[in-house]
Amino acid sequence: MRVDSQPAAFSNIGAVNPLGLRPKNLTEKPLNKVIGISIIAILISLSAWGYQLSQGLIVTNMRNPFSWGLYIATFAFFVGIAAGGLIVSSSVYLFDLEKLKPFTRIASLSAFASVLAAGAMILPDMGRIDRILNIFFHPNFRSPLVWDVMVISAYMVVTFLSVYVQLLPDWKSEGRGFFNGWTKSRSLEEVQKFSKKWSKRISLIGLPFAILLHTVTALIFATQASRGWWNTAILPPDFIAVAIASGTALVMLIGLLVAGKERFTEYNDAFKILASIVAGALVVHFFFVFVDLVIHGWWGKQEAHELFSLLFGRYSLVYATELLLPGFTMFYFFSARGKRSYQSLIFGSVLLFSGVFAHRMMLMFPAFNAIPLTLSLPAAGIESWAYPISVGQLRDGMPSFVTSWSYVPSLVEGLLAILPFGIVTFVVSLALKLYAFLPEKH
Amino acid sequence: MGKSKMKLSRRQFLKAATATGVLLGGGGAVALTQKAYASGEVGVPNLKTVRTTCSPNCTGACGMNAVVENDQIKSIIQAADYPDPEYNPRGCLKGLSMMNLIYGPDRLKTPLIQKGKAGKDELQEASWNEALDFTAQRLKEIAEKYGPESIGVAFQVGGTGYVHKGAFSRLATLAGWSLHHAYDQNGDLPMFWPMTFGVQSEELEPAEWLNSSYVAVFGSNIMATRLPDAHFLVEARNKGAKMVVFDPNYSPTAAKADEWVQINGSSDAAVGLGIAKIIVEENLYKADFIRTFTDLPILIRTDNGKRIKADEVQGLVKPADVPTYREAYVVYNGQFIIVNPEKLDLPLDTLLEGEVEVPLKTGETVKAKPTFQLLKESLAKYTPEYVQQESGIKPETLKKVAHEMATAKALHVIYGASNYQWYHGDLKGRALALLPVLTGNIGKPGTGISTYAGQYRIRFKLAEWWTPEGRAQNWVPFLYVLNGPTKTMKAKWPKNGIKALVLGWGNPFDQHNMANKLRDMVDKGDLELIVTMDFQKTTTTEYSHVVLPAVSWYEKTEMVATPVHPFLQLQQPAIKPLYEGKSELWIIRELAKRYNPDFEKYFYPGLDENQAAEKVIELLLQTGGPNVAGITLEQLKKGPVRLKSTVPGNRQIPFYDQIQNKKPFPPVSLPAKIEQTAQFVKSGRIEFYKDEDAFLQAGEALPTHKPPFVESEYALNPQAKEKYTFAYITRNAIYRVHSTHSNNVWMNELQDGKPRVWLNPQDAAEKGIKEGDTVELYNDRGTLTVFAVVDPGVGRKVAVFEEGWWARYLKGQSYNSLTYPFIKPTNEVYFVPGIWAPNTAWNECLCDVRKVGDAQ
Amino acid sequence: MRLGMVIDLDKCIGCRTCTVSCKSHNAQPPGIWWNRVFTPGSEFHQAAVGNDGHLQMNFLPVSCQMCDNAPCEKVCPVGATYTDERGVVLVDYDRCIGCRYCLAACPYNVRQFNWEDPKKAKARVGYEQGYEYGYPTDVRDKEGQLVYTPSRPVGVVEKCTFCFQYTSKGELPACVRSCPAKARFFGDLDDPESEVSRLIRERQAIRLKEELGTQPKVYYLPASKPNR
Repeated sequence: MRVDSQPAAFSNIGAVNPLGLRPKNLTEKPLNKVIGISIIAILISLSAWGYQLSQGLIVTNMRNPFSWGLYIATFAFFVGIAAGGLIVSSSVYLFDLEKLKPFTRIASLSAFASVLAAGAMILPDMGRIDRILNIFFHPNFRSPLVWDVMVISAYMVVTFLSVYVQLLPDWKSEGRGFFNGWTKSRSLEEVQKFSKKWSKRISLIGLPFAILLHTVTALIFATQASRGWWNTAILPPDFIAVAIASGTALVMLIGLLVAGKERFTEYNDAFKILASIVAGALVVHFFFVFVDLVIHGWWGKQEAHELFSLLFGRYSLVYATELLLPGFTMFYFFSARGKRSYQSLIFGSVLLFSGVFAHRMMLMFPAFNAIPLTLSLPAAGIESWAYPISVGQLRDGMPSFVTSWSYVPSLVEGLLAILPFGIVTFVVSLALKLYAFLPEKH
Repeated sequence: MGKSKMKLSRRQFLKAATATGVLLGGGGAVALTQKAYASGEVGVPNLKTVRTTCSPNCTGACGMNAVVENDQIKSIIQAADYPDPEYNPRGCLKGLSMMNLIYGPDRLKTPLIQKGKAGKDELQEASWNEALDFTAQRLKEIAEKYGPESIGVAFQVGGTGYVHKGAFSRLATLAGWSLHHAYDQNGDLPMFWPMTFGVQSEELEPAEWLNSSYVAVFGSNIMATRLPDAHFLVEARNKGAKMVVFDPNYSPTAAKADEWVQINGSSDAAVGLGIAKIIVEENLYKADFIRTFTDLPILIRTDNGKRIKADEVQGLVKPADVPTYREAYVVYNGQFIIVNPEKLDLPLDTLLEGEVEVPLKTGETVKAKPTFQLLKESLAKYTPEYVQQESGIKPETLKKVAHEMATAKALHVIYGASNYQWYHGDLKGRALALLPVLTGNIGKPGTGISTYAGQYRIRFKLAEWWTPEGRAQNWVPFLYVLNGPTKTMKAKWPKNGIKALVLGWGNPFDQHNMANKLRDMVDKGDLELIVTMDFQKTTTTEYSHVVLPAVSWYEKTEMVATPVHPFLQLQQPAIKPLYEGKSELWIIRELAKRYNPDFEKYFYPGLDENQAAEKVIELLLQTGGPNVAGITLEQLKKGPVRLKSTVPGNRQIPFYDQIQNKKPFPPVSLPAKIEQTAQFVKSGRIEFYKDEDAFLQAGEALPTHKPPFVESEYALNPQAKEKYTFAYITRNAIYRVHSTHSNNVWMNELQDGKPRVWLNPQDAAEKGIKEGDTVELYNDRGTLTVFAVVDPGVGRKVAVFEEGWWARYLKGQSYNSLTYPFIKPTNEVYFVPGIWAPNTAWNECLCDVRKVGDAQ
Repeated sequence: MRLGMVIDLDKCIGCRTCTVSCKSHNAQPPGIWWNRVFTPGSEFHQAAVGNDGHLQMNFLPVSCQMCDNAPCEKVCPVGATYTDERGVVLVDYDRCIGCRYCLAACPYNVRQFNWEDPKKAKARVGYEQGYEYGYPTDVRDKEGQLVYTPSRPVGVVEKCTFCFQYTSKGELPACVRSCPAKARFFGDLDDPESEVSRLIRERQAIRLKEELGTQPKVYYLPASKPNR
């Protein structure tokens, strides 16, 4: 059977769009603004990158004793929220959460945008971006980083496909889109059927990929016995818990923004479910945090004392942000009040993101400021003494060897770390502008 | 594709390069394998290795290989070519980083002339002709106006450069300028040596440490200040020698010792005399040894404290063959015996204890006691309790170490500069010398007392080059320049004082700027001209009127022999002089020519600077006497050659000849003549009793303990006792050779670029000072801004500063602005340059400490 | 062949000559030190440790421990860090992508990153124009991997190579040659007759962070004084 006619598509948008498309003019203007801002953000971050390329990573405040910073933390943050997307859309199929069905497209889109952003964030952290292809030419399969590159690439493909198959029917009916020449010869129904079938299939593979993405990213850190803060089997499951919380929150946030206050009530139930998922995942996360602290603290190794002094002393403010903001969101989202309104959900999500970002930064602070080569000198009554590390730079008034490094991202780092935020915003808003992601309710 | 192709072809090229690379690779190292593990090197390195001698003022004189490519030194590594393999490798972190000075930002590029005010205005670049003409002209003017002796010449440590430093001496001698001897200027002259042994100073060569059974270290930090030799001490300890360190501070040397005995600053004499008392009272001394080799049997008049001369005693006649610089004294063994100062042969029943009545030729009879008796009486005061009160050492520790030392098979006392660079440093040395002497530990392998500071000791005869035609030299101890002349001085003070300084190999405007005197003299115009030769832009060059760019020991030909290891070796040019740098011999020749055209002929005119230097080396070897007999320049070009000595195997064991062959003391101290130094120990023996008036007046006829500061700081300003309670100790760091390497970027990286003061935790707490805080050290003379290290190994009430920092790291202040040029009258009893002369006492200085800022 | 090093802490005097010879012979730019020496327990090198007169001061040189189970090698995503047939852990400066995973992984913090172009850093020190210190030529291993280059590219990681440029020719590493305390020994751990093997057997050698299982090939002889 041949169903065709592009002209028809143009003339008959509303009629041939069974999934429904919001009136275009509703969000066009704000979206254009958002796209514009995101392009500016990307351009700013790219120029920061250009500057960094010309000067070297010396323009960051990372140095030998603190060799990963804002970039890797931001990367981990976006990996986290990327996973959430597929977890949501998969859950729809796996657990038959019908109410969430309208959000599968947004979920897939947020996952794709986030993993793209994560991938982009890792690049400026490389000292030799020009040699990045060495990962493909000379991969070392023992390196968790290589596993991560593979999983991220795969995840990018999966999330892209997920978005793609879900958009196919729209494209068919609207007569646009890309990589969809093959649908020309097929009917809308066939395409719809294909889309449905493959959306489900992709969601099903998507879930293990999402879990894998988190596990592997966590393993980058958790495999390192030199860093006590990372070297725990709790790290991967906790990464997943945080990912579910923050990724779901992102889906919810985009959903909220797309739906707007106007249509909030239409999806109220779905938002409630999403909020509960967020809160539930946070319960698991805090459980892990608690268990981890108990295990670190109970035995009372000197390293644990130092770790605790970093967590509750020097970095107590960041750590409090990590604990208290998501903690608040957890209780808030469990409460009727937190789930009740458009504003409360946005408020809770934003707190959560801030907390999770702090969580990602806290991957770095205690890990790098607890020097691995710490010795005990029982004969001198000294339980721990950190062997000084050479900084990697000679500057007047700065010591050449240190046992701790007060890392605060530099301006260049700050600007460059806008990149993934710009990408996510750009991809999501552009996609929203071009295509329909939140169906009208029938 | 294209990429991998390129790689392939490059690899092929590499293979070709490998073979050549391996052939060129240096030999000498242990071959681990014959198999090649490298594919090779891109661009075959055209490397050459040049052997030279690292010769800053540390006395290390370490043989170094410079690895040179395209006339640039790429790296430096120890040559490790000493014929005695235990000396390999010699060299330390400073020597291995000389590139930072040679190629660094402070390298002097051209001659500089000060056209404004020295120390204030910028120096201007000038041509060599301009600078040399200007210098010669100004020197001539000053010589005409004030006399040539008003021009002072100071250069550091002759032993590190017999050729170029000799040229300096040669010109000064020809021109009649005054010479300042570095040894006493640097405070390195241990005055107990001439007082007790009649020598400039002596020491065991480090390899001899392995023959000791007991090493007592008093105030020396071998592990930091003698890096190339430090291993001998650890090896000696591991071989079974007991090593005990007596020091107010826990040093790296103390850390390696069997025992660290903490004592109060400048209390070593009390400890030494406490030990001597136990040795004497418990009869643990070697009576025959002291009868044979020391002045302890000699009779002293109890009424006036003078030694009784043979000529004074009824019935005795001074033998006719006693040289004028000696004296024949008297001992008693039932009858009075003349002590022939040329012979060490007193009967073994000579009286050591008791009192005798001596009939004099004048008809009167005087009471007299053997020196040993007086010593014993004077030691009575040094009870373990008194010693504890003065030094803090516990009585049981004192007794233990006394017994250990008395029974040691081979006792060696290392007497460090941080110990003797005090006002009463001489007293401490004389007290500590009692330990090896009373126990007979002199002149045998692994025994004696040694001072390892200063690269002073001249190892062979220099006169042919250093003092042309045997002309007289004007020597003026530098302390008089700072302190002004004294009434009691024996050296001749120039009638108009010192009006100009010609300087080389030194940075006196930091290192000798005591109480800021040098800078003041330039500011006030008392010093009208400062001429400095150096290859680095030091604080001194900033205060100079003319700066002449010299070269490092990698850019010239020179001959070196230092006391710490007994080898004669060359400096050889590894590279051409950088910029407009010239070797000092060339500079001096050019200056001499312009100062007085008649002088040119003394400096091998017409010869290239390196050829001229070789001529001088040949001259020195031919005329250097028995210590260099038979050694040739060609031999030295192949590698270091051990100097000759009177000890079998050419080993360096002080007084071996005196003890083994009963030759009278002292052995000669070059370049002085025996008559100059024998007058210090007129009895021809090891002398503990000094009866010159200055000693008697000071109550120092016998070794005694005197507390620090009383005759110095408190005499200068009685209020200092309350105001300034911290002893300002300036020790050596591993990062500098005095002020050399102060600007070495790597050395500063290793110290975070911060000058520091080390304080005792309790003192720091009392002053509210924490680790890393910015603090000021100050007294009436100056203020230093430094950073605090709170060190539990530092004794109470001392502020330890590591000397050598240039003023630029100390807010423009020189660290010696706190110190003062005290002159001790007993140092003026005789004057032989660099041998008996007023000696700088760096550590005799009080200050206070205050916090001025928090740690960053 | 497994090349290893033994450092005798009894003989080590903390003079840092090895630190400097390493820096110079391997052309390490300002701020980069492959080989460090510190006084464990002390804030400042060569200050005493302890209290009430019960003091100690020992020195601990630390450079690449040349682990048999090297985390830096395992984490390297591109195989730029590898162990050669002599057991030496090396970095290919041509291949390193500068991800710094190895800096995070190394328990000994011996890895150093070129945060900026070393040439720029050296120029700031003010050396004579065009002057470069250190072994002057590129050195590649048998496979052509660039294991030494006098001026490292910006953005790559570097560390001790056991002086590949010397030891590949059968010479000793600069730190061993230059140690005035004669505290360093170098040789084949597989050869039971080698000096290093003998010292490890006879002197109760220890390795740093043994509990991590990295199996270093750098051994330390304890700083124990003779018992009398």
